[in-house]
Amino acid sequence: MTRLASKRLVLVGLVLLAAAVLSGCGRGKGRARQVVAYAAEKEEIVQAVSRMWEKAAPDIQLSVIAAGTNEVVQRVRAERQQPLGDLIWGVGPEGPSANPELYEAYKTSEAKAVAPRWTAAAKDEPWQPNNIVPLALIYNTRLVTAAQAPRAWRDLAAPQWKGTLAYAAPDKSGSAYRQLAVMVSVFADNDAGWKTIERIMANSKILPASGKVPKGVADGEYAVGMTYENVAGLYVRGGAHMKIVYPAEGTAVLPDANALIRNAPHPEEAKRFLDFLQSKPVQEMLAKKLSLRSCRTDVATPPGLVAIDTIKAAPKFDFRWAVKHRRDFIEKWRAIVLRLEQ
Amino acid sequence: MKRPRRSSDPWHAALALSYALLALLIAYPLVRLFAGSLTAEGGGFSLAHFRDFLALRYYRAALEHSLYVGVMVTLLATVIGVVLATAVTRWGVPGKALLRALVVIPLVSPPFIGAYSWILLLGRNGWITNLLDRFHAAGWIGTIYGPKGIILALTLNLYPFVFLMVCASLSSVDPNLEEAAANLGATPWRRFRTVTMPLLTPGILGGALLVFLHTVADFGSAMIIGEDYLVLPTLIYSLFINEMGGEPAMAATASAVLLACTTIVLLVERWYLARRSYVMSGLRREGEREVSRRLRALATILAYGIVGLSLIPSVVVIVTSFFPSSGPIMRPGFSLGNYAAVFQSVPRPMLNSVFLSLVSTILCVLLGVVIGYLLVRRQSRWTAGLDALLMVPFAIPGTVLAVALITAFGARPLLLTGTVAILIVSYVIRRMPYAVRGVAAILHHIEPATEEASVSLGASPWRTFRKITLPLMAPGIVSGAVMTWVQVISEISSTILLYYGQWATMSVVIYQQVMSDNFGSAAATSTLLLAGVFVPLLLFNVWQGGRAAELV
Repeated sequence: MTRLASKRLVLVGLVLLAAAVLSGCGRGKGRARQVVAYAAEKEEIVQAVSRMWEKAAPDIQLSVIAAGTNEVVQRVRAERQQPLGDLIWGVGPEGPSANPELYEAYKTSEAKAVAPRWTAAAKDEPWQPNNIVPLALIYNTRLVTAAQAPRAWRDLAAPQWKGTLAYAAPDKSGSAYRQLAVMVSVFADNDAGWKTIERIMANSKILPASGKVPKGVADGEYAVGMTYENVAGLYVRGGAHMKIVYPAEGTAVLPDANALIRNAPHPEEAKRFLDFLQSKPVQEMLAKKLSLRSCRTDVATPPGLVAIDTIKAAPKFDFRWAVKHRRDFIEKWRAIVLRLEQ
Repeated sequence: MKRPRRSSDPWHAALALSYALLALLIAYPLVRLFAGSLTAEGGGFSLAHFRDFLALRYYRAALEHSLYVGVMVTLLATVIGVVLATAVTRWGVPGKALLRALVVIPLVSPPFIGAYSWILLLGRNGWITNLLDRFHAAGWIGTIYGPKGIILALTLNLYPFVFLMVCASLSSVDPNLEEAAANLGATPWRRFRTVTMPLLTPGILGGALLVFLHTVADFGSAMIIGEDYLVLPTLIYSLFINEMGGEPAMAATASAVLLACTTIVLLVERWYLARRSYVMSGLRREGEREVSRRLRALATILAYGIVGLSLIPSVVVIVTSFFPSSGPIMRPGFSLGNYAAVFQSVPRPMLNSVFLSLVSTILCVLLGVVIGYLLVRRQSRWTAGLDALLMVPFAIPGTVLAVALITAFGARPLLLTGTVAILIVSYVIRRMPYAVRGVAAILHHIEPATEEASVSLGASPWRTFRKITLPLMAPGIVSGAVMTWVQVISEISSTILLYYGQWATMSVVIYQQVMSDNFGSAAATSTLLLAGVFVPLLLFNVWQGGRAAELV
């Protein structure tokens, strides 16, 4: 037993030593030139862009931490005493806009090539536009015919969608909150407007994460849902029985955002990467290979998508207004959900 | 049972050290986090948030839901775990080593994958639902979403805790006692009720406690299959983690409520165990029992049936991993495309997962042995405090705990973020309770007299511990280590906020694939992870089984 015990101690010692050595290695690498990106982007996007970066800047090692928007932004906030990440990539603009103290304004070298519409949206904001991601409605073509399909936000209030409409909880998901704010802007922030929203919520299954909406509609768990155009596009291209509808009253047409983290450990490298993300080769590759709309004027609309200017923007919707009223709208929404439960 | 106190007792030092460690790693980060979020809203101490919590139905409903699901899952998992453990250790079910390895698989499979499999099968458009629909029987099972689905997924996910702890207890029950009861004319049922059952109580309660704590703190299953059924962890997550800045004060309040629930349950368990103390010399180890052929056949069907049912989610994952997929859409068929897609990205995360879970498990077991021993053998007000402190991380969702760790250890002089150490710290504090429970359960029925004999023969307390107590505790240590290991290897909610650089684990890779709607890749990676956990466990069990046979 003593021999066994001492053997065990040796084993423990060895493992601890290995841990120390390995963590030491991790730190040693930190001295080389590198950039750490916190990405709320899909795997394919991260992989494709990383491969291009390796060729474009072989001297700067790119390390990507990919997660959902909530996790990425939370990480930046939690690490604010001693940031480990240099930039966030592909988040909704609401996050940086609501927490400007965590980010540093930066004008990329590509700023001139960005369409004026998106430059205006990012004016005085601590972020830069990336890809353009309109909100859209989706329906399952096996469960819903083209004639029955909803054409507008207000159609979602019809009793026929009872229990078959997929909507993510707006207090959990940023995209669901944006959808709520668009509906408020379309129906007006008054009793009549909220009554319509209440009828839509009475039809809805409230899901805890936005990713479950397109998945659930594609799987036939729900007939109709609200999601981003690019996410729905993934499913449509994969062969899902799904169609996209741009609501008649207009929708939120916004870029997603990249931003430099305040007190980033590698600011120069981060700026180079932010320039790179907006550059023509990257935006063109994303448009051609992954059907992502570019914020640049000199990149064509991805094949299979309608031109961005033909998608009606909700006239009264503004994301700054949505950020400002978040607490109020969420409270009203919660009150509705509680009323409906009774 | 007072023993003379000697100032040289090394356990006093161990107690002080354990306190210092837990204070630094658990109390300090959480106090900082909660104090910060409570003073953010106007400052000063106030119970207003708690009043809001109990007054507003939105919050109260989450508490009620959590308790309902917690109680149901605990009851079901306990019954299943006890029956299965008895069948496997006592009634000579064939293929024991295989069963014991298979049983652990549900614990390993990441919850977001497991719950999703149930939707594939029983969702509104699920395979089984559609099959039943053909016979107009779909209404018969109703919807899988909501509490029913959470209870189903978690029961079949968590019963292995009870199984493992009861197995450890059963194998240290001295058969002499039961034989004596039989000789005195007790019927088998009476024997079980009055002799075996009381001896198993610590193991059963220890396992049930883990199941309950795990259920009320579960985030993944509720997230996937709960639909609009809000439970405390999903509530806390949505209050705390939000891109626009959540409601940290309310999140802290909800966490405190969850913590109160778990602490109460923990104290009740302690109080119950303290009132009845059943110890035994445990020097003769249990073997199999002669049972009638009919009982053996019944037990075999039952055991394989239960284990088979709980393996369904994993089987679904394995089967779908061979489906051809294009983007998020998978079709029936056969293809190795998913494996080809993940081939390059998997080796490093696999090594990371194995390395991190190995280091964390060793640390958990070392600490678990020391703390478990203190809790059972050196009971005092101080150790009760230690027990409560130890269980705190259980009641805090991983994401919130991760934020607390970053806040506490994200700046000099205690800079751990950006190193692998922060991951290990998070795993150790979150998973150590398994090791501690495993050790404590077994110590409850090892008679202190053996140790006292050793001390009175002149052995030092340390020597006594090493030579007498430790070997007797071995089954508990092993079951604790297995539980810790499988729980570390599938951890995701804190890892996603803490990992850095090249330290992505398998669960991080799977999570990112799910987030990217690459369900085919996610299924393939999950299958590789399952294989990576299952094969070593099976080898270990076969080796163990062989050794046990040698001893008998």
